[in-house]
Amino acid sequence: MWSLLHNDTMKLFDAFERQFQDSLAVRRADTAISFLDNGDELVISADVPGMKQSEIEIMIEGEFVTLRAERKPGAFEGFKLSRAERGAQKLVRQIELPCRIDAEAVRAELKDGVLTVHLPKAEGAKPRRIPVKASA
Amino acid sequence: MHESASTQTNPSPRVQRAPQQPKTADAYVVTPAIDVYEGAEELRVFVDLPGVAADGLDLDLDKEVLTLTANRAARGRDRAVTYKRRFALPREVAAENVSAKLEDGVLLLTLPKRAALRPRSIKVTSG
Repeated sequence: MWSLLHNDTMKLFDAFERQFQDSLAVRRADTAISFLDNGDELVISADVPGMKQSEIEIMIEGEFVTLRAERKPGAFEGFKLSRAERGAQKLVRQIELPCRIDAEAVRAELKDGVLTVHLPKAEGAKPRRIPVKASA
Repeated sequence: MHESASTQTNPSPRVQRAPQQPKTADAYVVTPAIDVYEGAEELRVFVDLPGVAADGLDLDLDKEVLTLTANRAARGRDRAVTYKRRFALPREVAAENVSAKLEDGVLLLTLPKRAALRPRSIKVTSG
């Protein structure tokens, strides 16, 4: 009898949502990664909601940066997963760098579920201003 | 979206907009992904809100409809994002006791069920 009640409850939850049309446009966060060239540095940022530092790995090999992050699905004793859109999230992304970087100076920060990796360019790869001389 | 007949009869269409959301027009509106876990005493709803800090999150409860609006600032070339989703709370949820916690870009909503609707075992006494 209780399971019947639970089913009805979730149906209600679902029915209301369908009416709102909200669930039609769910965007999975695991696709959100962006890459920016700031002149002196390259910046990669990736959405990794709910992930801890220990679940994220950043590897730099030659001109490739590899990001690996994985979120284990939650499990709660006595709870039943009745709607699953987030799932276990896994991110594996290899990015080819457009220029040489100073691998020693790379730093990464994790804030509010967003990973940001700063990759300073190697001296020779930074933009330089070339003065134009007037010919005498 | 529904700017048909009603707009024409209304001399000022601006009043139909929620005044507290001037940013929605240039933000990218996204429906966040959720997981719902159901237990005997409560529902737990997890919402992915990467890039959202506590001061950018707004939860509004009107009767049994919970509206979540969360703002994420623009960064680099990425546009600002507004996460928006509405939830109709099941009747068995005690709306006044809903609690929320935001951590690492994930919001946890805890929706306790009304005591009278929780399953319980009845002790049988003799005598």
